[in-house]
Amino acid sequence: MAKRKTTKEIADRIDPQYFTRPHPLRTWRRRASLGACGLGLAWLGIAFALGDQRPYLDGRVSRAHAFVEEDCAKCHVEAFSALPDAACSACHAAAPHAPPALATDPACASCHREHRGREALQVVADGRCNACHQHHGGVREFAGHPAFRVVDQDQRIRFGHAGHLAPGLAGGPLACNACHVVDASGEAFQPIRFDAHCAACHPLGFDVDHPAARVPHALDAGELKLRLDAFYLGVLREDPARATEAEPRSPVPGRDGSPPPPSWERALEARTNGALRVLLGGGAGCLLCHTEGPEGVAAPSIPRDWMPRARFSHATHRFTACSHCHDLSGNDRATVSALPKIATCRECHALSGARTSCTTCHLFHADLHPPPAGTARVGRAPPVR
Amino acid sequence: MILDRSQRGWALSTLAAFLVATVSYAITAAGEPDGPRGGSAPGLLFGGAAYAIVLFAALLGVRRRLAGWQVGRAAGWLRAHVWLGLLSYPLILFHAGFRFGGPLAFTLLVLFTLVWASGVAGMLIQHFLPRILTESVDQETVYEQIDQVCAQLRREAETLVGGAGGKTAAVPRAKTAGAIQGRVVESRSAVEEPAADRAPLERFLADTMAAFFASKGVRSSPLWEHHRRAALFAGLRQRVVPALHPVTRDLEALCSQREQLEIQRRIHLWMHGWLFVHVPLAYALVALGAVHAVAALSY
Repeated sequence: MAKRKTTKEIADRIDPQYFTRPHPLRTWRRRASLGACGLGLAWLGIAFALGDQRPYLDGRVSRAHAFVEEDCAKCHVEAFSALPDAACSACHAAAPHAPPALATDPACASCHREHRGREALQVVADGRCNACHQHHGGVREFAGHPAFRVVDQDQRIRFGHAGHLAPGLAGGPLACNACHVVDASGEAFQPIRFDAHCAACHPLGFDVDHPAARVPHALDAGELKLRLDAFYLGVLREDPARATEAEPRSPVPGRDGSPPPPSWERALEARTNGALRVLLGGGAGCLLCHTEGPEGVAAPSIPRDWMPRARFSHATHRFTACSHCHDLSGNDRATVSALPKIATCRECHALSGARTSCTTCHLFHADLHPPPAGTARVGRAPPVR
Repeated sequence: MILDRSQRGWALSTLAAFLVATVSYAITAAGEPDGPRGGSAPGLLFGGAAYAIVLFAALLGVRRRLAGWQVGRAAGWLRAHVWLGLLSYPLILFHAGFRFGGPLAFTLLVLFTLVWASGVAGMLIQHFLPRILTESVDQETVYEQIDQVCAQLRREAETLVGGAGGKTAAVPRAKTAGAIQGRVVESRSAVEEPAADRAPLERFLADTMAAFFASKGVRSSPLWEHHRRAALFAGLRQRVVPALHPVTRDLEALCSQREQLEIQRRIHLWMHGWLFVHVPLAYALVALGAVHAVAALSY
């Protein structure tokens, strides 16, 4: 049987002053506490000594601001206060709200939330837009977006896409990119040029006796007459006998039908007028494509940007067939454009996971919707050349 | 701290506070198009509350050191420490908007997670292990005195082997003092043992038992395992005269006590080892949290 200890023996085991002496567990815990604090503060101290303020970042700054990431005071110019717009405008000359202008533009930082990662500065949450655009009923999702508002104006042009894409077209049907070439921005198309896109099939010939003769496109009436006069003057000089030929005339009721005496002036005028009739009259000349205005052939007015309140990148959508969005089956000469409806966009942007945020198509700043250089944004476009 | 019915009030209060904070966060987060931010008014409120809890929780250590500081009962402080500490983690997540933020904010979130997780682990350990300690160690002593008790056990063993054992014997008897009656243990002089050959005992003590009573290397001793210890003492009893068999049993009892003290040491390390993570990281959290607060408010 084990020896039973007396209470005195058991009590004698304990050193009554044990708690006054350091114990390894407590000692090491205290050292570890001091070490952990010291380690953390040393990290911040070294960063401070090196002038590196990145430890205090509330997340990574955008790629554009990465070069000032180590220096908070570059943007945070006032301590204990919100970021002022002046800090942004010191480097950025941002335009105000796109038309209609606002009485007071919101602060830069209210939309552009920094410290959200490298790519996030330009991404503005839909809620920022909806905070003001309540008149849309708050477009919470693309499914509730109103129908597109496209430019509605007389384009002064007669062109039927369907006819040019028809299989029976002489020389074979055209492909879309035979005429429509995306410009450098990737958003719009380069202007249609007569010489490049039309002249091959629609030459501006004017005289069957001179089938190779052409007049340049986009001449006004005075220039055109001068060109024709010069051409026929050359013809008559080469063959003066033709100047004395009787002008072929149709008999007019009340007259005897005998031609007037020939002269150089009359011969020239007759030939020029004949050419002008070919070019300007009837349906095979200029008016085949152009409409007639008060001063003759009207210059076309094709909008460069059909939806000026938004932007669309054809380059981004290059993997989609044109016909997927543009239904040209019924496109006749009276309806030049074939803009897609919003339902077409929703096929991908609401139902298939493509982006649907406001800033996908709309931008806040007026200068981010500029008309392309040298062209009018909306209204009269430069004449087709 | 034992988690029992007495904690119900704190538990329900914590749950209610958590629900209120969660609903508040959900409402404010829904109104933030870019997601909640720590710098917004609700974010600062959540962060301030969480950091205040951290500071209060850190005061528990101060309260323990200042035993004379009579501000509430120690048990009350511990309960507040545990339950408010539990609440602090969701608050800090609401403050951060479930984002990691920059390097310092990320470090703080990691620290907070480790401190909170180690605290939860410690709470569970403190709930279950004391019961195991009570069941498996019936001769528990003050942890800091284990080495001293082991040395004393060794001295007792040396006394027994040297022949001084048996001079006294503990004799249980009932004792009455007036109307009070109880069971006491009294020391009585024992009968002197006849001279016997104690050499096997002395060799056994020097070769086998001495290392077992040392502070380290206990588990590598052959006396650590029950069956090996029983076999060793059985062999020892065969080598000594029957008159010394009671001494071998006393020695075996001392080894058993040593084993229990080692078990107590290990359980104690489990019960308090988590503090090696919890306390240092909590201090770091307090220090870096203060820097974070000043820097974040400055910018």
